[in-house]
Amino acid sequence: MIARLALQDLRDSWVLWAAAAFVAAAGAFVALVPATLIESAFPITDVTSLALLAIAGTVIAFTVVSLVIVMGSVSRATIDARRPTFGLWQIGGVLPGQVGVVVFSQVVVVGIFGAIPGALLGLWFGPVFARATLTEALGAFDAHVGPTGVLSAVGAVTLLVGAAAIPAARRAADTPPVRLVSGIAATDRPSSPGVSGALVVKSVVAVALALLLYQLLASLPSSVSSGGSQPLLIGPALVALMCLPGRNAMAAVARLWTAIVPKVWSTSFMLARVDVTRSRDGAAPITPFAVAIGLPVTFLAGTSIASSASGATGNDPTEGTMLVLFGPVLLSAIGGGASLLLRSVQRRRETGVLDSLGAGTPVMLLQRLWEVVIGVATAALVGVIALVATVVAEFWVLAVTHPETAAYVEVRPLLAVTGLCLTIGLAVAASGAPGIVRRSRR
Amino acid sequence: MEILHDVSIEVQEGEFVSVVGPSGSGKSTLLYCLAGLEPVSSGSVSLVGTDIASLSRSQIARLRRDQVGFVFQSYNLLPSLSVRENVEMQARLAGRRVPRGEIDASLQSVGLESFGNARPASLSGGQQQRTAIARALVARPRVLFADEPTGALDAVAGTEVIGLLRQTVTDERAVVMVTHDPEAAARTDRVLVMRDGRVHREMVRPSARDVFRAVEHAA
Ligand SMILES: Nc1ncnc2c1ncn2[C@@H]1O[C@H](COP(=O)(O)OP(=O)(O)OP(=O)(O)O)[C@@H](O)[C@H]1O
Ligand SMILES: [Mg+2]
Repeated sequence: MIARLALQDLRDSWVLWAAAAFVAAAGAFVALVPATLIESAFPITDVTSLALLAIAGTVIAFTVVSLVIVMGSVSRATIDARRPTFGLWQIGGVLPGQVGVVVFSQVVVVGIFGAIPGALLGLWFGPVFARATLTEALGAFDAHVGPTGVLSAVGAVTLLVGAAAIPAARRAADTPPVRLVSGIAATDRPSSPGVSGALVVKSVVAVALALLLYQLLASLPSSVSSGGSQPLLIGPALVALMCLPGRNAMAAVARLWTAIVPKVWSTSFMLARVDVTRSRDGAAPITPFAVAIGLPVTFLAGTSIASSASGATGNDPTEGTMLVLFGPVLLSAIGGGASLLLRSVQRRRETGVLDSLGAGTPVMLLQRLWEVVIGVATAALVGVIALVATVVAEFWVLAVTHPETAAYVEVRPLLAVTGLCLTIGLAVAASGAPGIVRRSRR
Repeated sequence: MEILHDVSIEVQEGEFVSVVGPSGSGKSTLLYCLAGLEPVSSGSVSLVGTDIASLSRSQIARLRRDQVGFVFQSYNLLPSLSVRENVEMQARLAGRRVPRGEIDASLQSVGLESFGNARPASLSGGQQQRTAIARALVARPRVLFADEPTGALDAVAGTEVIGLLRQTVTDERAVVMVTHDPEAAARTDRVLVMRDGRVHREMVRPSARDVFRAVEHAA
């Protein structure tokens, strides 16, 4: 009976679950890139193997950061989007504990079903991509990946999805059903015991990341001289640290900068602003977008400062850079798009109210557009803060020991990834447009 | 699926009309059709002198924004906006700046003066509905449709809301209200009794007792 409910729910709200499955697929697909590097490194014993493992380390660091943040954010958003349904189940007699179990298994099943095709696609893509990006630097080598890589990728994605789902599923089970059902009330929720547990975990991770950052910065001068890869990891560590406080902090950033826009300027902007900054999940897309923007810009700035310190000029690591950045950026941008989609699906009621007030199609379409713009712009702002922090910190540490260190910032990568996020966001908003245009009945 | 059949009604300026009838008889649907929220499969609806079948979707939206107020049975408000912002929204969409004092006055008249900065989630069902009434007061529509505006209220608050609706009825404004309360219906100018999607009876200034009997008979 409960299994039937769960299946029926999967059928009724397939768009939500498809979005989650798609992100899981992207996660597994991306995870096969480092898996390829590791598997290819083991049979060889020369210096190529060491080089591959060193690159794999960097790729893994970037991929893990983006996987953890994006999968966590998306599976939380998925469960939150389903909360009214879970409330109905409880009113219909399903026990809270059972709701928790069902929700958790739904997320894990969807995660596995998404991860498997993604990993299979990666099975082909990983070696092709590794060869294309590394042959020039390392010479011809046998890039391959097998069942072990696929299994680890699927396993890792499922694990991450499950870990993120546990607190959300607990929350869904803990909330009184009436609040879950009365859609409006579900958007405002006082903190529950589960939150403080998450707070402890977050604090521990934050301290660990801060220590890691300190360690990386302290050893920066020596690693620049020896050509180590520490400078590359400062960016991801910083971005991870900045994304840790979660969507409420992102909502606060959005609230701050959008306050410069006068409230009377545009009603659709004002509606979008309050949706991003005040609703429970309005800020959810900002975190993945911030990862998509922050990772590459801090990485590129970090490498260019480090190479200027070691006296190398014109060192242009484009292909290796592609290898490191492609997966994480792709995954994060897709994750941001999925979070936007999750949100737009559950807003039919809001559209109904606006319609009854005679808001008209242009206002509603503009509202969605502004939401994307505010979300991506906030993410870009967070990315710029991470970029400036990286550049200042690295320059400050290196300038003492390496006088030739130069700090310059490339704007083009920032614009490029921001443009990518904006494109994905607008595509999601456009996919919701037909629903707005032919809206009817409440 | 056809829900309403052979319904023909006309509401004049200055009229306060109520619609009563058993649950499922089509009262809400009638209101949605009259307000242009739900298209009609046959027949015509004309709103403040305009046949809405001849209007495009955006023209209907504009007409609704400028001339029509709606208070639903539930889900009236935008959850991210405060009560004050919700009250302001329809007038704002119509391009009118509403002075703060006007919003305060309307909140006061529905007894929500201390809830201006609250969010809908923290209001009771009745308070949410009163917020929607305050919004309609500020928007000053030519026609106000209200679906059971007293359904979630106690007797005293319900009487006050009917009084408020009565006040909004002027020479150029009309109110159409669905209600289950014979007392409330008895305070309106005209009562339509619905049954199975038809207007079963029409009564002018009936007593509460007459309304009660008529609904009982229609059930
Ligand atoms: N969206 C819909 N799709 C199909 N049928 C509907 C829809 N909404 C209502 N109905 C049907 O139309 C009929 C009238 O519904 P309506 O909501 O107008 O009743 P009502 O008189 O307002 O009842 P209540 O007093 O319970 O609010 C009902 O039989 C209902 O099943
Ligand atoms: Mg009804």
